[in-house]
Amino acid sequence: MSVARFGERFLVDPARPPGDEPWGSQGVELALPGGPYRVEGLAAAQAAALAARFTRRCRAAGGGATPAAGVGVAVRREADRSFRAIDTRGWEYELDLDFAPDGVRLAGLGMRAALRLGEPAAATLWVADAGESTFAGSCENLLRVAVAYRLLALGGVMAHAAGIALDGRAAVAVGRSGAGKSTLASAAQGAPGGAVVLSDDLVAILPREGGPPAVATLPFTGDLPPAEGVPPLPLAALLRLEQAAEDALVPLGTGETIACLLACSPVVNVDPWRREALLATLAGLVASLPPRSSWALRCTRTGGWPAVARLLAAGGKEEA
Amino acid sequence: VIDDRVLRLRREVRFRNVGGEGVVLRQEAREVLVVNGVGARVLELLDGRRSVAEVAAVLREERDAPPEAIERDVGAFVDELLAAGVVEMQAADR
Repeated sequence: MSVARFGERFLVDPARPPGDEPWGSQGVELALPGGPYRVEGLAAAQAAALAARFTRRCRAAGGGATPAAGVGVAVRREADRSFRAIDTRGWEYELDLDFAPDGVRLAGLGMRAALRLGEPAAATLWVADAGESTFAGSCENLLRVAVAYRLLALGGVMAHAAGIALDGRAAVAVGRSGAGKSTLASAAQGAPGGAVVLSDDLVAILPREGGPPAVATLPFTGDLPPAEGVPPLPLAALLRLEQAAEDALVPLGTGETIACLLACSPVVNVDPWRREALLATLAGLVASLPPRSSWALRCTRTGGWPAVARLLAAGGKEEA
Repeated sequence: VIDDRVLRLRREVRFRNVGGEGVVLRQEAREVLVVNGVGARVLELLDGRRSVAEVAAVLREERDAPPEAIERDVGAFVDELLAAGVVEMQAADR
């Protein structure tokens, strides 16, 4: 098996150490789960691009001390010629990740980054874009990875899942691509009863003292725009979506529940240095779920939502 | 015939016993397996020191099932684990 060296898909010279010149003197603070995420070294256009991308979650950061927890992100200049020009038509984009005991390096289209784990965690993002085109997307790429690690450090997980809220409780639906996450989310959004789609793509699941885990929104793009302004809600139902000829809810055991969360924990579930930590964290999260709150939701192409709505209305518990 | 194979979890595989079941993470294959309580117990006992026959002997003590059935089931399960790349033979110089 041939293994490509880190970064060579995206970087002209992956071995060359990147520089340390900030783009500018502006900084913003992003309110994302596991944060704050304080981004510094920004040019004015880059700060504006982040404000436009993250709207209410973004505010100008005063000087002041680096926060004691969360993630500090230093944005640094990289020459445009350092990045390969890539024709991305018809190409499914996946970051190049290089895992190490103390952190992870990333390379992608027009970006490279390094995340050093710790308390606080520290990241550096090298870009060639001054804020006019790809900068916010590059920053989001790094932030997805940073959030995944921060949540893991806090005993939680960033789940590739649809999140739906009803009556102050949240359901999280996981499943492979095409299993029906987006269909379920769309059905919930269109149904009467006031359900709110937290996301059809990514949600944060965090432990909560003395109760079930909390589900928090993430401002990363899915097919449907993620909900904003919704506080973290208790996780009342965890659903593994499966396509089937008829709708049915079947209880999931502890092992199956952990397995489906493992399968949908992007980034950290392929990190060979975090295998133990991820297994232990997910076992802890699943142990804190209310009894009978994990289900396989077998649903037809258009079905599923009525069963989930009943579950949430009943606080997550329903006889199968 | 005594099954004297000695096996252990492959280095890159992670296993956790959770509430009477076992979760097996095979990260390189991007695969997660869930095994039942007996399977989880067998995985715990495959420690690179006990032989398959010794694992079956422990289960005979712990479980209320015909000894021949236990030996047969453990042997078959171990074959599956080997084929799935979850366990490997312990080197002879143990």
